[in-house]
Amino acid sequence: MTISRRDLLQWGAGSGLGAFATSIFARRAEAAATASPAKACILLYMAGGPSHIDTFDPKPRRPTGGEFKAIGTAVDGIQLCEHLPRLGNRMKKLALIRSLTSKEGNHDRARHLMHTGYPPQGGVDHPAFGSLVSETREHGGMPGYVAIGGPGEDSGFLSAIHSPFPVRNPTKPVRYLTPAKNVDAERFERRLALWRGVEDRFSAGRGGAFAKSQRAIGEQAVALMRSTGAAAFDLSAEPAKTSESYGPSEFGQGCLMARRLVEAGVPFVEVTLGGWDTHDDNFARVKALCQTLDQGMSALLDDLSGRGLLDSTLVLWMGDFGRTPRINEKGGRDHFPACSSVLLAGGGIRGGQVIGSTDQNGAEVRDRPITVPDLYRTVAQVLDVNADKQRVAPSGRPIKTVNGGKLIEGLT
Amino acid sequence: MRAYLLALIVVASCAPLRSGTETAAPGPAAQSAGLAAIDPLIETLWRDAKVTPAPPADDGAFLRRVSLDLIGRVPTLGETKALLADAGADRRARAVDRLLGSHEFAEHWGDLYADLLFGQERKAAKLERQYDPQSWLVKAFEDNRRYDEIARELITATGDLRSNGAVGFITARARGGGGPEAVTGAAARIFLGLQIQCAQCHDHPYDKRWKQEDFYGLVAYFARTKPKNEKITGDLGEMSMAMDAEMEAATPKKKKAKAMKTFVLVDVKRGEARMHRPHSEEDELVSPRFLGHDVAPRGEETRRQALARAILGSDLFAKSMVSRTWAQLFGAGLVEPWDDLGGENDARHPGLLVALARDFVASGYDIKRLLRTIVLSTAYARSSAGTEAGVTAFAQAGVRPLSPEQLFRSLVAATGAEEMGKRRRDPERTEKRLLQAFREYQFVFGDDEMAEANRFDGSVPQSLLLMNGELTNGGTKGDEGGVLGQVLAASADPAARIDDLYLAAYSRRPTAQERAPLVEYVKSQRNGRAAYEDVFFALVTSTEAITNH
Repeated sequence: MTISRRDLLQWGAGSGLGAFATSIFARRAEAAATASPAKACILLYMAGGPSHIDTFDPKPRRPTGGEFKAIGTAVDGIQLCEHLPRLGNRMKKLALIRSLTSKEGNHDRARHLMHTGYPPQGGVDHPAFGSLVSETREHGGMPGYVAIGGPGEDSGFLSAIHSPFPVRNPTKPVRYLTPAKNVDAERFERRLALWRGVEDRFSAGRGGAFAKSQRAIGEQAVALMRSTGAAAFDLSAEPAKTSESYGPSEFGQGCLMARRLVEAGVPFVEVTLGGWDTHDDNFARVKALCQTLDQGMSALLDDLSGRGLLDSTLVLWMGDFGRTPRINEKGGRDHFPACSSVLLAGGGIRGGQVIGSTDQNGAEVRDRPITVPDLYRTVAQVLDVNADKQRVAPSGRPIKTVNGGKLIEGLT
Repeated sequence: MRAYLLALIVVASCAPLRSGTETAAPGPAAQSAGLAAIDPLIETLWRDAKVTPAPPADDGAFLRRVSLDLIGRVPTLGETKALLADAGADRRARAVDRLLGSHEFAEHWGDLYADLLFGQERKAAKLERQYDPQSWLVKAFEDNRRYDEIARELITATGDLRSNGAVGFITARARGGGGPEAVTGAAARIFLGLQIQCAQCHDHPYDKRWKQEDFYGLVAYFARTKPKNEKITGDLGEMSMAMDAEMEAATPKKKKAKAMKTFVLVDVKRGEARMHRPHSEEDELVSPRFLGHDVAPRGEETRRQALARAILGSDLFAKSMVSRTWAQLFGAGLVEPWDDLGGENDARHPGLLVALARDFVASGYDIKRLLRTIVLSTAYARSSAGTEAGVTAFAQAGVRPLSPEQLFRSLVAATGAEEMGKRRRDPERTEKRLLQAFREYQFVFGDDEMAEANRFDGSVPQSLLLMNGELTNGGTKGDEGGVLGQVLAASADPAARIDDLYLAAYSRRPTAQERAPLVEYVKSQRNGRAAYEDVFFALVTSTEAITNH
């Protein structure tokens, strides 16, 4: 990433910037020096639950196999659905788990499990894994967790600073990162000084924790406005050729924004592709979704790799759950948490391999069942996050980063 | 998610701008009948907790707090000045009665109860947008219907959601995912103040009183209730058509013409609660049982009617309402959390809770009277200044975040943004833009169930929206129709102008220390009007303006 002087000067009128810019450079140099675990994670989240059989676990010529053909990939013996040819060509970079299994077949519960590694429980508000990564990483003025095209999952019992910074639609400019039209840089500074004065007097008079938190978050917002990295939210700066390679979809452009954010020092970015809840008309809908996914994710892998970022960035693909082998009377498939597929790439993951399998109908896991905690324990290791660190939830219950689980052998 | 109509934002800021005279807090003459009984109990609470109560809040702070709690927005500059100019001993009681009698009160409490009853699941939110069951609640608060009647209807309602909003509670909870178990968990929490849903999967982990079969005994009352999703043939309901048109305008490209559906809640003859014990292969069928008592349907009663009878007969019914209402008004419960009452006739329930519940029952479940009693109590009248040591014993007011609805409506009321917009461009466009801004505030400032409101501690997108958004930047302009414009027109004296801006943003005057640097600032700037805009902007975006305290 290039940082121009103009970038520095644009919001640099205020005091803290010099020190901040120095710290970002220092951190980069330091990180490069230690032979490293992955610095960042990009989660591609398939909301609604993608059919495993019609994507990464094809069952050709079986009654449950559906309409799609299977095609070969760059790795002998691994087949994918015919609508994922680009990812097939990049199979050497991808590790494919076909044996993820869970019990959560309701969207909200499954989302919670897939984002936090814990099933929903009354009394404990589990933080998203992205929030935990945000908490354990330095990210300067940038958010530690950005959620593009979907809500992500909130920071639970961690500070709100680690909740996802939402980007609803990456093809539209992110709003409010610059002052309002009638406010130039100098006026913004004057207002900020007035605001600080008022805030200080209020929090001195009433010792509310809320008042202090509010003040800290306000400063974080100002730091983001001034951060050189904030330019990463602006996709118009990207060359047309790169931008086009990701495809015009919000998901594709979200993948592009994810790459830019990782470059700018954001440690966890989630990009949502929704619409996988195909209770009816499964095949037409999954075909279209596969095309969007195939282009966006492939471009992301190429772009990260071309910039030398793939080794330090873990790319993770997953969704709510798999879908039933049985095709219902509306040509759809229903919720099926017993089997689903997960992809991992980058961050030192050994690609070109399949872990686990389902039976010939895609109806149950045949070997190497993998649980969500197994997956997160492994992801935590790749990202050098302490899986067994305990935090105490407000209810007084100790909660570990990862809910047990075993390391998935052979992935790294 | 709640569909507020912007026309309801009554901006009374055009009231004459004159400086009021401050007088002491009202004396005992202003107290309501129920009040005498609870103040000594509050004082006992303070003594037991060994806290010195914070000094009383002044009239402006009281009005701000009670306006936010009862009508969901801060008072306008005119409303604040009117109270400050009122020397009558019963001025606070009169202010409370005015608020309780307003339509804004019904809207705000309808909104709070829609959140509480319908929950946050996405499917429930969609159902709400389509059928607006909230209007049923608004009407109930408007008419000050008895709380026992409201609850009975919510628990037993049948029929089409379009014509009977009371059906919305069970339908939304069941549709939200989780079936009769989810309905049961919500009903036990809301109408009994019990967190018995923890016993859904196994015996309650902390409260040994509740076993898994107790939870399923309650589930059984809802096992014969089905929300049916029916296609509408014939005429579409007028209300849902209107709601759809509004949705269409807000999200133009999303909605395709789909067959309209409605929900019809029916009681059927068959259906049992099925309990799955941990490590067991087969489900067990469980019969209706109410917290350890056998309460079966009598004669023609449906299971739900039997449940409503049992709930209304329990001491927990009134106590849960008092517990929740207190927590809503103070940001903390007499029992903490408010929905953890534990069990029936528990000797550990605080005396104040018991007394208020008794008074509530004796008054015929009069919701407005309960609210009036609490907001005119000595505890509610405490200042928020101090070190927070007294907050837990209600000896000092806490600092609490506003809901997105409260925040948006407060910013509009404090700045006069609506009136200013209407003078500048045509009123319809102003309303449209405000509606857009409102949706943005709802999105960015999120929305949680009341129980979780306490952990809400701000976010970066929220700060960015306040700092750089149109409502705060545009609203603080000195244009005609806005509050700053009026303030500038009313006096040329910088100190008087700063005082008015404090009253508009905070419902109080600045201290000499606060006033001095701001007066100095506006004098130092070449563009006077812009300088006042800066000051007003800093005030309305500050923590004092965006919290209840």
